[in-house]
Amino acid sequence: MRILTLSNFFPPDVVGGYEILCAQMVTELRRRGHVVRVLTSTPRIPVMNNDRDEVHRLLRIDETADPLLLPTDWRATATRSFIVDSHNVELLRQEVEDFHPDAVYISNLTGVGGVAIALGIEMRGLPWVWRLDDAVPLRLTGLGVEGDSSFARLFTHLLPGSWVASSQGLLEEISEGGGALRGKVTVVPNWLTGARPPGRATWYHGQGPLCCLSVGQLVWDKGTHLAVEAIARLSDEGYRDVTLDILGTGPERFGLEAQVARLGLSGRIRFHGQLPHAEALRRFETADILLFPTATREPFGLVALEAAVHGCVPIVTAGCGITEWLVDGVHLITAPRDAAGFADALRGVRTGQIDLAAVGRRAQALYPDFHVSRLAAPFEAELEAARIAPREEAASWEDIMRMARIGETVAYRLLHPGS
Amino acid sequence: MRDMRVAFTTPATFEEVSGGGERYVLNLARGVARASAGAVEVEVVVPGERSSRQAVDEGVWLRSCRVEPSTVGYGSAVSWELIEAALAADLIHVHQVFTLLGESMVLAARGSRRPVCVTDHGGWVSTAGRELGLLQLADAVVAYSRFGAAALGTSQPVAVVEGGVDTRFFSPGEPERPREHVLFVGRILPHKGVDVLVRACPRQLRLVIAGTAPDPEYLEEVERLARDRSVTFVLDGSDEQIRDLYRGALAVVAPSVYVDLRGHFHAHPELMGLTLLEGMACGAPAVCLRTGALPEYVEQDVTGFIADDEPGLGECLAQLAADPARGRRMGSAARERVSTAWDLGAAGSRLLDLYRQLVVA
Repeated sequence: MRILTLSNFFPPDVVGGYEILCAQMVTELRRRGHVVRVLTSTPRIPVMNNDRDEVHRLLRIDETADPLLLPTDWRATATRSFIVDSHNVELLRQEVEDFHPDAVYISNLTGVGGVAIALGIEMRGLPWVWRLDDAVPLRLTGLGVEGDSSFARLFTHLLPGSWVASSQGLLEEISEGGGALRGKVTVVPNWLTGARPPGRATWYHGQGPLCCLSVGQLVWDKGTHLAVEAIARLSDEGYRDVTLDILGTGPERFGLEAQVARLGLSGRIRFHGQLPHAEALRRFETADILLFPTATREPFGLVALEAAVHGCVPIVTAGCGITEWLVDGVHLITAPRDAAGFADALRGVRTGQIDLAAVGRRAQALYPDFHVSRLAAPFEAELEAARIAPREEAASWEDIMRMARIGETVAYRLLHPGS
Repeated sequence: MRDMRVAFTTPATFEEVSGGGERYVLNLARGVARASAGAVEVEVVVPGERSSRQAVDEGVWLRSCRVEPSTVGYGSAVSWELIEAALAADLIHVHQVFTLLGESMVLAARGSRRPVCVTDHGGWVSTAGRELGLLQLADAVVAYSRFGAAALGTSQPVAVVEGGVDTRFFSPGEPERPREHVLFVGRILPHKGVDVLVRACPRQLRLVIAGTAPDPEYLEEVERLARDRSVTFVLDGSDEQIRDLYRGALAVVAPSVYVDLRGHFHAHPELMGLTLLEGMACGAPAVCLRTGALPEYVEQDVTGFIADDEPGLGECLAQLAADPARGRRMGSAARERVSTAWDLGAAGSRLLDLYRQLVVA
């Protein structure tokens, strides 16, 4: 198949794991013999593109607004983030006419502009499959208005198609938000790439220092502050040999560093910044535990899967997407979404009450089940099913472009009432 | 047995109906439902402060949908709930298309492949849609006069569906009353030319000016002109009061102008003139200036008079006052014309034919 992939950003320019997952699937689809072209945004960082014929970095999609900007700049950035941009629809037209895709793989699109691109694909009668790593359209592609389900309902009305979500919980979240997806919906978990990690021979067994890791963006949602507080609780109980290495960066870093200092944990909790992905994986080979206490929600939790197959047992919040695939007490440990719950789980490990070796061995064995070479198959099948499914009559590009231009003005006025 | 559901969308809240363009939408909904003999249900979907749905006539519903809080004001309000409700219909007729809601609605209808008709009622709030060819996204463009069709300036074919008056409600009444006053009904605004009528109306005739006054300064100006003349103002009258005024009118007058007393030019001052037709339905001769679509609805010397200027308007009114029998003949012909050609059932029937073609296609 000739597959056109759409993603807001594409490695090395990434916001988080979603873009990396997209790139991994693209690589696997190519390995399977498909011709894949990527249409993505102009990079925010210098990218020496050695893959010019395959990755077209032309779209104008900004990441959501940075609240640290001045209000006027924030407004301008927010507008660019959410606006319908007919420039992007024109680029889509050029790519489609040049590449003639059999199917379109939609990965991450942002803002109402993302919806406009997707609508252009749908109206043109192109087969598409949308990979859902997050609660679209409640997040990422909405108007940025929390708690309003009407736009979500409209979105799903306009876009019946093929959806591949990373967890059932994600679909339920979308449905509860008013946007019950129309069309074919399947669930395929997040995937792993690369060679099988070396098998771990020994696990922590309740003796000596316990080494914990936290990996991810330092944003409030990821709940790193809960991990810090859990360590503090154990310290207060006398377990002063429990350490935490924090990998990642983000706006919460300064607050977290202050929290660590306030709790007197500076020697036991260390910040390492954002490390290359391969280096982060190597850290899993030696750490005992991954603490993954998301503060609000987590559609999947890929980092917990990566840790698990390296034998680094994850303690995750109950209800994370990954707990649909990895079982509490079998492949990982779950805890309530608070510091006390994580402290309880950590104490169980530190005192040897939890048999970490049994959990770790079973988790390591999961590796082949989650490898992209296996999980690409159902994804590929969805693309093929979409390709051969009957389609609605295609609208002309002229009409699609006209809609995009008018949509641009409508979206602008929605974001700037009174303009 | 319903075989089609039609949604009419319009930005009017119906708590603030501002002109014939709003009442006309409800009339057409009634007309379509009536012409279908129960086969078609029409839901008039409008923005409002809260969600509600009520039956207004056989097969006609008025549904109010909550407006997005950040988008308020006539023509600028958008309601996703409204758009979603309309998309549940088999066909969507977007009224007041050149508004933010109208443009959003057309995009959503096209995006969901629903047949979409559009009508401009002159309530332009946005020029973007017109400049960017919004009408070309519609399956049908409907105007209610040839003037209105030409004013759209589109290369798209435009279906002209004239009229849409409720002739059951607006009728001469029994027994017919003496016709003693000259009547204007409408919004008291400069482009409606009420000042022209006050000056033109022969002093011996009583003039009644009925309607709403959204422009207080203009109302003051008209009141100043009306001093020392026999002029009565009826502001915010009920439909029944207005009908009584029509029934007693020597003539119903539409003195709309292209250039108002402030010197402002109005390119499309009248796309139909619903109140003129309502008066005619009540048996009043129609008198208008040669403005916009008005001459399309008045047959010279048969159903009324078309005047070219202010003195001509006064002359027409003087003729009617001088020859009551002629006025009665004209009023009768006017009533007959509206009942047969421009009743809401007739307009609804023409719209229904159009809708059926689009839904089948």
